[in-house]
Amino acid sequence: MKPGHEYSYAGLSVSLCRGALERPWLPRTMWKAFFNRSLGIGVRAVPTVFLMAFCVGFVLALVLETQLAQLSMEQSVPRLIWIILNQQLAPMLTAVVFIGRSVSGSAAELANMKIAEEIKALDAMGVDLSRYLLLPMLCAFLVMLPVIEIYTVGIGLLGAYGVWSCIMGMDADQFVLGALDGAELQDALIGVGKSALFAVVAAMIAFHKGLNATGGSDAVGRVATAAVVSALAAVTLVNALVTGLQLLNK
Amino acid sequence: MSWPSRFENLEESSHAMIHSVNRETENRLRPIALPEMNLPTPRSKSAEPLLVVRDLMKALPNGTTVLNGVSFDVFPGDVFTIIGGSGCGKSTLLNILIGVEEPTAGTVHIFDENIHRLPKCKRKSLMREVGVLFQSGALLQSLTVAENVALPFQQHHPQISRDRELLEETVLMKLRAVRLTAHAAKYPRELSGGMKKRAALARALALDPKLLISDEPTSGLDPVSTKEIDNLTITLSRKSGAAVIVVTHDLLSFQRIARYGIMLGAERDGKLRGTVLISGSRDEFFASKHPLVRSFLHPEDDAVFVAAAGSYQTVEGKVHVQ
Repeated sequence: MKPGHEYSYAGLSVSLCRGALERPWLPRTMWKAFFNRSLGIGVRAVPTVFLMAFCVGFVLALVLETQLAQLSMEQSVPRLIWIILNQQLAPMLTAVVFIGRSVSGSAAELANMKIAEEIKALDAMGVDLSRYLLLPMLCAFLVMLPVIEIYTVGIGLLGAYGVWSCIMGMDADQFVLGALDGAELQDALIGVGKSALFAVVAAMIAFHKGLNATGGSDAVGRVATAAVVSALAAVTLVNALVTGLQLLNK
Repeated sequence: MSWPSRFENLEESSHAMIHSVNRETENRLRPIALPEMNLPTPRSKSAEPLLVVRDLMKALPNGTTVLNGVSFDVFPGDVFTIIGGSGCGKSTLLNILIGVEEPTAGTVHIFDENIHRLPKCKRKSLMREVGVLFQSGALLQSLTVAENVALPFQQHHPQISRDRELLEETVLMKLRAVRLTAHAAKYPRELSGGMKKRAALARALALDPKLLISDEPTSGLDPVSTKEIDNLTITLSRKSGAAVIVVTHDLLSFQRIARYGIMLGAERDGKLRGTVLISGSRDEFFASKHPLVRSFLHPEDDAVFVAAAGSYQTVEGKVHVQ
């Protein structure tokens, strides 16, 4: 990245691609940073995601069962939950949790480094910012969001099963068979693919906001807020576009 | 003390007034007898400059000129200071020297290379020979002191960084030189201000650079820590044979370590802002009759705290900014 110039989305994209292709691939320092980031982004988000996914699955099953029972279509609830969770709710829920925890944290961290001249120091030492700082973050986002999304689907189904077994008195076999009846691998892949896309969008927003921070310590709070708001809006828009394209292609 | 009426409503001239200074004031303005320090040897006449700055200009987007035709050379072994009041462009000049900002006009050559025209890979090789000590230290908060000092080796000497024992020994050697071995495993937030500066100095000198650029290294430090940093800067760079550029407005540091330098006009100096008011040796600074130079070097002396370039007006012994 050209030092001293504003870090644009285009510039960041080019330098990240170049950094990813440069040798040596994945030096030790990058691996260490990637694992530390993944721990913070993924593993530490598990309790929060568990609670939210369970509640979302529970509420979704409750609402669907209540409404579809009036049309005598309760048997469709597991199948609908599978589709809605995989294609819409799990990717969005995962993205929301990550944006709230990790995008704000990453943007604030980069902003703090910019204000404290750490970015300048790295530049002055000839350190490639994209390889040392940004790629490990991006790789952690890219790997952990889809993994947590799959976990979210599982916990969501667990919450839905809780409603199913309490209200309908159905056992687990019936619920699983009902959910997987006619299910396609494509449903799960759509969810994983969306999560990966949301990871890139959210990470780029965090990098852009953080590296362009100016001012004093108050800038850190402003940058974190701006990153969260922008990332939420961007992810919602991307989801709408992808869903529209997906349905148009059917 | 009431000001003579001749100091009121000065004309816009940077060389006004000095003729009015009476003999008593003149005597008070003789250069201070400077204590001898462990200073490098004088410049060799045959040496080529490490850093050549020519006609550097920097204008802000709003049209304000921050640097105006700055030129100077730094030779091997020099201790070169850049001094000036607030808003004189010292930090901007430093950012341009290390390649973080680009000038509006002019050139900066380090080791005969125009640093603002170099491709990325060549610039990375060049920066191996340049150490930078930032005003805040700029230690990476997520790394320990030892890891901060190891970072330049990881970037520029992979053969050392691959051998864990060799890297640790090298880092400890650097930390020993700044007396921080007991704090190697600590994070920057656990250190005092003086320790952070010493750690940052160790990192800046990690690769034994030929040129050390130091931005207000003693800002925020107590007098004892200031002297310690000055001593370390000079001693360590002398051992490695590096030239040192120190950007400072600390007069005591300037008196202590400077061998050569320039002084830039401050924001209050109006049209002279960002220009080189004086360039030369420390003795030449103190012998200078330039009113702005004398007022900067002797701020306690009201008789030489004079207006220049129409920036000030003195009324009844008090200075008012116009």
